[in-house]
Amino acid sequence: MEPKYRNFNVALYVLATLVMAAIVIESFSAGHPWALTCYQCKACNLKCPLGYDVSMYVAAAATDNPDLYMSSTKLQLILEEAYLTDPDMIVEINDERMSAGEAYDRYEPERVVWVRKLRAKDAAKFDPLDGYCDSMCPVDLPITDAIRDLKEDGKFGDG
Amino acid sequence: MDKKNLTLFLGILVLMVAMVAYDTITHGLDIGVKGKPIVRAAFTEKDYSIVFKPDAVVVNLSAEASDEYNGGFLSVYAFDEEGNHVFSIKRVLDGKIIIDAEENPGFRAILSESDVVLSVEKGSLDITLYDVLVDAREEGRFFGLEKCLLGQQCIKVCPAAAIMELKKDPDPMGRGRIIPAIIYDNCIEGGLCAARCPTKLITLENESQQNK
Repeated sequence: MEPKYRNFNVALYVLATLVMAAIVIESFSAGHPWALTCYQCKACNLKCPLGYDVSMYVAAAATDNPDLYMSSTKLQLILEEAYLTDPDMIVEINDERMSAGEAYDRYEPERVVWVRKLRAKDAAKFDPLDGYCDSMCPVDLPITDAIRDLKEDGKFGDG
Repeated sequence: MDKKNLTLFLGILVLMVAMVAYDTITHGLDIGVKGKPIVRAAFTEKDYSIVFKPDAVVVNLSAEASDEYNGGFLSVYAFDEEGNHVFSIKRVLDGKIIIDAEENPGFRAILSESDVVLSVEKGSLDITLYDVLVDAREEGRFFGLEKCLLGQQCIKVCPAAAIMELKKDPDPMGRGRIIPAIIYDNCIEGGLCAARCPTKLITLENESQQNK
């Protein structure tokens, strides 16, 4: 192999190693290194009573990023509550999707809205911790532990 | 093994033991209050009323129930003609639960002949919870509001196998609600089930006496 290709090859390997190492470090700092073993089969979504994309909790834990947005199909909130939680949350009113901020300007604050997209930390705040996601996981990942952790203060880990 | 490796091995061992000890001391074994678990009484007519409207079923909670469950989750259930416990887990908003006429039920619990929950399946997309509720009312089958979400957290968390199954409440006042079957002979009163129950259906005897 010519030196220039060899150097390029080595540089790519180093880059890939750094990216992988960063993910490992993030998952450990979140306190949930098991999240790395999730292969995103999304079986956990099948029984979620709120219609959450539960695998995003795991993705959030693996990357220590509670601000990741995830979808929801069956969560209802009072509009004011949605707006105060996150004005960028996507809600649905009369089959029209919009941000909670936009909806708050257009509709009465006490209206009940369907939530369609919200941050993982906000999803955890409204999560009943019923444990259905755990029961569906084919590799028994403790997903509810991550949700419980996030529910406490909107962050992973003790911080 | 040379000296260097042995020192490194012992160093890592000491560090790991220190980490586990720290975790255990700070919060590892702190599960809060211990005591004898009891299943709280079923909701009664004083606690809620159900209004059937053409486009929705509205469950209105009393002020007291609303204070406790506002923002939390409860289960609205009805028995279908095959004797299955059909239910949806719903959030209490401003003291109300609203079930749209087009909403499919979230789950269907299959019960054995001895009224034990055999499995909890995803609700059918061919029916609506509204229709099941209306049918149950017209046919005189049980329907209403219950605290158990059937997530079986209590079963999973109990280290003493004191809760092995969920079953239909044998008390007629329970109106067919589902409750955990606590085997008191096995119970070590660790308090884990009460701490884990998301709706406080399971509470501790000493806690409930304090609340009175």
